Amino acid sequence: MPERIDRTERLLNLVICLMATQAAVSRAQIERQIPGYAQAASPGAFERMFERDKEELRSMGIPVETVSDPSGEVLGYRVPQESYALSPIELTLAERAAIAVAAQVWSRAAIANVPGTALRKLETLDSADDEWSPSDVHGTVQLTSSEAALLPLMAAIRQNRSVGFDYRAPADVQSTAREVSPWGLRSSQGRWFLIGYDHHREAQRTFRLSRITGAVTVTAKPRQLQPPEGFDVSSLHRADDEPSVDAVVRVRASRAAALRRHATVSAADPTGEADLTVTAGSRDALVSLVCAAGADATVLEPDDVVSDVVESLRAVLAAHRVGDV
Amino acid sequence: MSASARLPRLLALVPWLMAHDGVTLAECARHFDISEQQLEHDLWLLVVCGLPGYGPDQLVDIQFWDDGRIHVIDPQTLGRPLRLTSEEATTLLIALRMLAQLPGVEDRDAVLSAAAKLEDVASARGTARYVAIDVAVPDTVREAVDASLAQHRELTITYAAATRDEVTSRTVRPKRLLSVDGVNYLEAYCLSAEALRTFRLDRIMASELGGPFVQEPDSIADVQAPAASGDLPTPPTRTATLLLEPEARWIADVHHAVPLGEPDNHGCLRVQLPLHSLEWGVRLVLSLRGGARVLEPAELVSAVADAAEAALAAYPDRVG
Repeated sequence: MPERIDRTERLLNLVICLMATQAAVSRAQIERQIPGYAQAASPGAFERMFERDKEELRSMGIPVETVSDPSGEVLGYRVPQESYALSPIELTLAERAAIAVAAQVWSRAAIANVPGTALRKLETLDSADDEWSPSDVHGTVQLTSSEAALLPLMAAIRQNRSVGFDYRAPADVQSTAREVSPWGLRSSQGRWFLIGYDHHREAQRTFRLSRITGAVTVTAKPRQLQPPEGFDVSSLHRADDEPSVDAVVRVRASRAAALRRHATVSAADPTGEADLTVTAGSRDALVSLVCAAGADATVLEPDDVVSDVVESLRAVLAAHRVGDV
Repeated sequence: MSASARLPRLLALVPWLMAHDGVTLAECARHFDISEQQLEHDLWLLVVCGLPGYGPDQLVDIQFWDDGRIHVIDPQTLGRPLRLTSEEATTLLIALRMLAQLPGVEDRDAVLSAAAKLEDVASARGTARYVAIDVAVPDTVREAVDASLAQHRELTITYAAATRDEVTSRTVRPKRLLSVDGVNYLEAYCLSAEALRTFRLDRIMASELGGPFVQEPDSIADVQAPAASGDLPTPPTRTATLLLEPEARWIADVHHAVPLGEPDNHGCLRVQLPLHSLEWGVRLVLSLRGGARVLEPAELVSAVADAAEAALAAYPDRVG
C-alpha cells in the first residue's frame, strides 16, 4: 500500500511546481507528477481533489492562473512569481513599529493568526535589521472580537459577492434566513455591524454581527446591488434616516449624566442645574432618556413630549404599585 | 492541523528564515507562536517537498539538525513572502485606523503613513469606505489625554458616571489607556477618591490640562492587573426577574439577560437580568416606559414605584 501523502504536503508541492513554470502545467502532468494525486481512486476522484485544492490555494491568496489557448481550451495552470510575491514596501522604523502594534491589537482575537501572518510576511521584506518592535503606547489596545462572521463578510465585500446567513432580530424568537448584498462593516463601542441591502426586505438594513446565528455563506453570485454612489460607512450615523427631535429638559445639579451627553445646547457650567436642549433620533428615544433620569430631569417643552413622559411614568407606576394612580 | 492553517505558515516560514539566517529553533518557534516540536514537523515537511522529480537538487533544503540553528540552503521557489491577503491587510488597517484615533499613541503620523503604504502595497485602497471603527473619543479629549500621558500633567475632567447617572468634576493623574473592543478606558489616580480609578473615555464630557506631576514607578503587579474599581465592567452578583412585553424584549440581548422559558401567548418573556445596582435597575425599568415589570426582588419593585412617583411630582398639573 502506498504511503499516504499528507494534504499539506500535496498542496505545498503543487504550489512549488506551479510557480516554477513560465508556461503552464497541465492537469495530466499534475496528476502524474505530484505525490498524492496518483493515489486518487479514479479520474473523477482526481478531478474533485484538484478542484478543491485549486480553490483552497486561491482562498489563501495564492494567484493560481488558468492558461487557455486562443480557442478557450484549458492548457494548464501556473502561479506567476511576480503576482505571488509581496511587493517591496519601504517602511520607516516608526511605521514598522506601528504595524507591529497593529498586529498585537488582535492578539487575543479568534482571528489573531491573520494579522500575525501578515506581520511575519512584512518582516521578511527587510533583512537589514530585523527587529520589528512595537512602538510605545501608553497602555494596551485590544480587539478580542470572536465574531466568526467578520472575515467572510470582509471577503464578500471586497469580492463583490452576496452573502446568506441566519439572523435573529432582537424582537424575534426564531432566526430567519437573510440574503444580503454587503456594503460595509462598522464597529462601535465594541459591537460590529454589517450595513447592506436586504433582498427579502428590499431595503438597506443594519445587522449586528452577534445576532448572526450559524455560518455566513458567501455566494458565487456577484453582489446584486451596489452601494449607493459615494457610500462611506464611516459617515453613517445610527439615526441617519430618522428625523431628530428636540426638547427642553431641566436637570438637577450633578445629575442626569446620560441626558447631558445628548444635549446640543449645554449649560456653561457642565455640572450645575440647567435647562438643556436635548436631541434624540426619535420622540420615543427622547421620552425614554427623560424617563430614565427619573426625578433628576423634568421636560419643559414641547407639550407632546411632556404628555408622553407623564403617560410613560404612570404606566411604570401602575405596573409596580398595585391599586395606585 | 488543517492544511488551510498550516500551509500559509510554511510559506511564510522559508522567507522569514532566510531573513534571519542562523536563528535557533526556540526563537523561531516563539516568533511563530508554535511549539518547537511543531516547528520541527514543519521543517521536516518542507525538506521533503520540491519540484517534480524530487531529486536532491530539486527539494527545499534547510539545515536545522546540527546545532539547533536554522539555515536555508535552497528555498526552491519559496524565497519570497506571499503577498498579503485582503483579510490580512484589512485586519492590520482596521487596527491602525483605530490606533490613530486613540490617545496614548506616541507617533500618530507614523501610524497614518504606515496605513497609507499598506493600502498601496496590498491594493486595499478604499478599505476605509467599507470598514469603519468608531472609538467615540472626541478630538479635544484625545488631545488632552495624549498631552497628559506624554507630559505627565494632571487632567481635570467632567465625567458622566455610568452606574449612578451623575456628573462630577475631578482631577486625575493618568496612568495608562486600556482599550478593549473599541471601548476605551483611562486608568488614572483620582485625587478626589485618593485611589486608582478607571474612566471610560466616551464619558469624559470635557477635559482640561493641569500642572505636571511626578509619575510614581509602577510595581509589576500594578502593570498587569487593571484596577477593578470605577467603570470597568465587572460582572454583577445580583439578578432581577423581569417580565418583558414584546417591544421591550430587545433589552435581554443588550444586557445579557437569560430568558426563563419561552414567551407566553402575548409574547411576554420572563428574564433574569444581571443587576449592576439598584439605581441602574430603576433607570432601566423607567426607560422602558411600562414595557418591563419587575417581579423580584421586592426592593427593586418598590424603588421603581418610588422613582416613578417622585418623577411624576414634577408635573403637578398633569396628575390627578
